Amino acid sequence: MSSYSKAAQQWATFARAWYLLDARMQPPGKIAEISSIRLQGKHKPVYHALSDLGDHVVIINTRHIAFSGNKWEQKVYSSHTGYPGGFKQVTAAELHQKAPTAIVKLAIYGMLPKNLHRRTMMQRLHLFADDVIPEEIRKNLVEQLPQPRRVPKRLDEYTQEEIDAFPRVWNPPKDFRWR
Amino acid sequence: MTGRGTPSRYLASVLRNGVGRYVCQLQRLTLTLSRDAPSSRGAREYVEEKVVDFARQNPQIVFYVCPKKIRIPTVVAEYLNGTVEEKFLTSKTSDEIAEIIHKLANQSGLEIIRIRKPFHTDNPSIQGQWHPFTNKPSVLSVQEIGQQCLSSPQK
Amino acid sequence: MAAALLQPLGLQACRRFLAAAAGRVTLRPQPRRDNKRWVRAYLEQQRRLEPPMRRSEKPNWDYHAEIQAFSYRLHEKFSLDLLKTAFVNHSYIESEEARRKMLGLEKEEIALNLKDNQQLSEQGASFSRCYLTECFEKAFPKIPPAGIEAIVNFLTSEELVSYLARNLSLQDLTLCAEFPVPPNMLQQTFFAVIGALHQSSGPQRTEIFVRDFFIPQLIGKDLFELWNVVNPMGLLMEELAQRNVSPPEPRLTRQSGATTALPLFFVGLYCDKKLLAEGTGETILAAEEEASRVALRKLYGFTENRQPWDYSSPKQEQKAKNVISSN
Repeated sequence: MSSYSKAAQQWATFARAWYLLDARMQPPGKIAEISSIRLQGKHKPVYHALSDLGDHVVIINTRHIAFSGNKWEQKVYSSHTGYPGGFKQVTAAELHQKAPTAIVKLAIYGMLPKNLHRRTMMQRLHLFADDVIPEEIRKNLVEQLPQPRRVPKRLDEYTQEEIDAFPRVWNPPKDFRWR
Repeated sequence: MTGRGTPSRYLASVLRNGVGRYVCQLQRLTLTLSRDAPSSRGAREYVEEKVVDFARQNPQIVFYVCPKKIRIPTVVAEYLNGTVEEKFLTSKTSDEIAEIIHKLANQSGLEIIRIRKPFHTDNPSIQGQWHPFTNKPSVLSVQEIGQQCLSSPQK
Repeated sequence: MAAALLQPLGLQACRRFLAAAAGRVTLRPQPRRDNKRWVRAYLEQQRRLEPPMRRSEKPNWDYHAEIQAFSYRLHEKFSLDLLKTAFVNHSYIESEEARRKMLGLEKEEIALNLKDNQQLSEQGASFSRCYLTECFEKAFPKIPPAGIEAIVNFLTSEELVSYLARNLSLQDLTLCAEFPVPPNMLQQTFFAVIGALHQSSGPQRTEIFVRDFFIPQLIGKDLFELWNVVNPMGLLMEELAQRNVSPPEPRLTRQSGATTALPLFFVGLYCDKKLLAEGTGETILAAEEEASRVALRKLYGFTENRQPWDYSSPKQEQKAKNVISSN
């Protein structure tokens, strides 16, 4: 339909896009799932494993990810230095304290296919602990991906009008004794 | 041998044969046979019975019959694009020889090697080939992405 | 007889003795006297080292039969004299006359009674060009004359015509001094064949012939591959000025990875705030140029999704017309 010349058409089809993903209040597993799909290029209809058509993903606010359940205390990240007695086990909370981007990075690393392309795809992943990103990367961005988890509102984030507009079953009298 | 070890080609036609008019790609056949040897008995029978009919039905193919003192009767097919194919007819019946010649007449001169894909098209896309912006909303061209990201003072 | 019987026994005994003396005990059968193992490889090598020869110099060649088969193969009825004249090149006549002079023949016999294919070739070439120009003017009325000329030049160029001739094996039938036949000779011969067809069967059949062989070569080709346009933007401005449309305004529509080494830009050309065409490229300038090319393709009607060429024969069209008129 759009009759581009052959070189231009091929350039357009295999060009790389830059996506932005905000990880505030998001579970790192779901962030990693979305990112790994984009990094591999599986969201493209022209996907082929040998074609190297993964896109760039920029993840901001990795410091503010939210594990569900008790994973901050229970999830353990293990590593071995290679020397005897060098087996280290760290909880998620400790690791996040030391390195705010490590959890998301390890999650994505584990979800990518275990082949030699994995390192190249990790190079196309850009993690930032807060929402400060270099100007160059900001200029490259194409689209912001929708967050996987709907962030619930805290009680103090509701405005007075919304609280008043919420339907009540009954209005207790002022001197009602709550047990 | 695997597909990678042997030569291969894509599905193609000589000079887009068939789009305008169909041109029979076989140019000439040369049948070499012996008068006496027993291995060319089938070839001799073919020459006696079937060759004239074949030549009449296919006036575009030049058929040469060459009786010679040779051990193995052969048929050499030359095609329009220059390919030359030789088949041995030792101890074949005249029906088999007729089948072989019929097959040679229907071939084009392209090599008989592995064809990578059994299809070929010059118009691969009808609605337009996909590019990363095909199904993205057009508001992206005006929207500033990453507005909440303040640019850092350093690089 | 006894001596004859003794001799082979004696030979075998000798061989056994020799084998035993050499330390080997096994008996080997006598080797075949003919068909040595190296013969096949040697013959293949000789075949490869042969200098290239014309097909007419190799065994099994009947010129008259080949010419007849040629006319049947193309589904055309040629007058065979004209066709034979069409294959005769000037260099062949000269070389033949020189050869006869060298052999010391008399002057009457030196002069060959063969005519050149120069006239037929010129006729064929001019007819093809005329007809192809007419065809394209009808099919793409909006392309300017320069464009149509470029397309016709591509189709009648030496490269394409010699490729056509080679795949119809005209090089076997041409009579030419040089071998392998150079491309300009093949081009001349092919046009001479068309000229011969024109004189034998008339212009209609020749038109169908030219259409059937030349126009399929445009399949898969893009307009600007055939027509080299240096400044597409300037040409587009002229075209739009002719159609009384305001000049296009280029705007950046999409971009990705602007600061990387592999950026992608989409530039749209807008006339009076309406999108005319969109083009893509590595840099913004390249994308703008591509957009102007896409706009030109759309204006001239030479897009990828245009109607394919109609190869139906005119007789069928006439029959259809008769049916419609009768209804």
